[in-house]
Amino acid sequence: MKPRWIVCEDGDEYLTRFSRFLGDRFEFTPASDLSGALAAAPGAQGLLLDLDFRRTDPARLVDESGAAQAQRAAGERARLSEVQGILILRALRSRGVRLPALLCADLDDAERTARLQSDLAPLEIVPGSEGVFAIAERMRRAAGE
Amino acid sequence: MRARIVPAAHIEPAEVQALSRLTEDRPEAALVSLGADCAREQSARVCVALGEVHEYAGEIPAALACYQAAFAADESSLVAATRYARLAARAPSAADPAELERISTRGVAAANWTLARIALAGGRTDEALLQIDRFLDSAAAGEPGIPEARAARARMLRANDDAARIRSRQRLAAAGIGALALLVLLLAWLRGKSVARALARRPRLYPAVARTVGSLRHDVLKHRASVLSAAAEPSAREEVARALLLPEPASTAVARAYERLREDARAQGVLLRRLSREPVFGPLVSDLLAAERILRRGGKTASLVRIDGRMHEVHGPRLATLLKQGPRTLVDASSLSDWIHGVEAEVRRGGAGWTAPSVLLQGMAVEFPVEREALATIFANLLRNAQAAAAPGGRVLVRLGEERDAAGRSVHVLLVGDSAPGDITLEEIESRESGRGLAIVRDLTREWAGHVVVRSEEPPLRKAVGACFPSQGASA
Repeated sequence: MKPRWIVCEDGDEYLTRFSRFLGDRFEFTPASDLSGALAAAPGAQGLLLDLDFRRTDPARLVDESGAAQAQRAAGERARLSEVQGILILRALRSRGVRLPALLCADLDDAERTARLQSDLAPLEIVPGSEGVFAIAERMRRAAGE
Repeated sequence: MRARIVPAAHIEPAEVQALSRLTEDRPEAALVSLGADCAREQSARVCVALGEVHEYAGEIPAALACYQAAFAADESSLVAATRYARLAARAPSAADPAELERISTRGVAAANWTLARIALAGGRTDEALLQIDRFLDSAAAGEPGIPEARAARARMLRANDDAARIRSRQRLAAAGIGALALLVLLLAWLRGKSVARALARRPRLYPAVARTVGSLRHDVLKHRASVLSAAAEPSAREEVARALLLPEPASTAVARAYERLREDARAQGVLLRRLSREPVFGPLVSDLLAAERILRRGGKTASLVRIDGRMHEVHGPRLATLLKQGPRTLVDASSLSDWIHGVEAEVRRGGAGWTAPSVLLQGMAVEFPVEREALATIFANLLRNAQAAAAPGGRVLVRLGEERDAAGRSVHVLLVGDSAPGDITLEEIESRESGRGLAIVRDLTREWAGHVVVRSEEPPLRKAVGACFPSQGASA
């Protein structure tokens, strides 16, 4: 049985790419927001997140407390969407989801990266330009294979 | 005695008669005496005599013909050759150059002078100069034509010098024009600044650069170019090609984004370099084009792997470096005080009351990733808004600091609180028409990738409105 990973993103780029290139080794479950990730978490081996969720329905964006609101100011929506991957992971951790996570993001800040990896462990920040097979290797390692 | 030493010249009776007729100024009779026609077989002497008669009569072509006949009859007759050459000098157009050449080989200097004049008339100055030099070298003193030859030679040398100078000037001018044209082409090619230099010169360009870089990192590097690593697997080649080439080639997307950035820069009075010469965007497009070419036509996988390596070892870091080159404004107590006084003066001029604000500055200074003028404008509008809201006797607080947000970002915060009753929400600020007060704060804050915040404050204050700016660099 192939290990199952959740792919949490606002589109389907990662899901398409991983299914195509890594489909023989992993099974992937899409999730487009916190609730989707929560629902898919049981039985999953890990979680792969994108950082920016600007295409997501604003009503499904979660804030620092993990809450989604139907009405938000445009500036607030922008602020939340550009770091939504982190906010979703934070909300998952606060709800007890301890799956190993890979966050695809170019943070350009080593201190911030280290802090996030520590606060939201087990977490690895993956540079955006990293290739699929390198990411697969991280997935394999993160799941303890 | 003389008759014994010098034998008497043999003079034909016809010559004697002819001379006699000439003294009577009857050249036609003299010709009759000599037989009239030098074309018939005559002795060289008679031909010369006939020539002299014709010359006397001003019949130059006939005279030349007779001298020529005399020279033909006796090639040793230098008299005939000399006469021919001298007469030809007076009428070069009637002379036969070939005959003159022949005569000149016999050492008759006059032939060279005549040939020089013929060459001069034909515009062949080099040849003329050569003949004049020969003439002047071989002519005996007193030879007719020497002063004229010298003058002509001097004229020609002067003209040659003038012509050489003109040619030299023309060559110089042509070279100058060529160099100028090259310079213009070079300048056209070189003109424009790299994005990094443009940022240094025009910090206000940063938001446009940050937007462009952010979208390229996310849309191109992250979601498209990153599949290049899979190209090593033959079965994945088609999928890789699709990711990089559809819906449009990734290189085209980058080129278009750069052109938009160029337009933004031009609107701010900065000319960015052509894409091919831009040190960050140019090589990125070049590598993408190379990868696309390989994927279309088939090529070495090793090349794709190398390009993939450059994507995350070269292009990603270069783009990230651009994000770190935005302006920074250090706000300390002094600069804050200047800003506050500026707003105070303005408020007092308007006749409104002024509440001196308290200031809470975290540390000695806070550095904002925002251009100074934009930050000053944001601050002035926040403070004016708080002053207007705070009733006389109310309180106003300015708070500057740095904090971490839930996403782990270092965020620079500028807040202005007041004690005025009544709340304000982000929605209200969002809905305000642009151009005044908090709407300016909203628009400028957004432009500089920040967020407007509304926070509650401890009594006696009630609320604070402000702007937060994440550190530069974080994006995709």
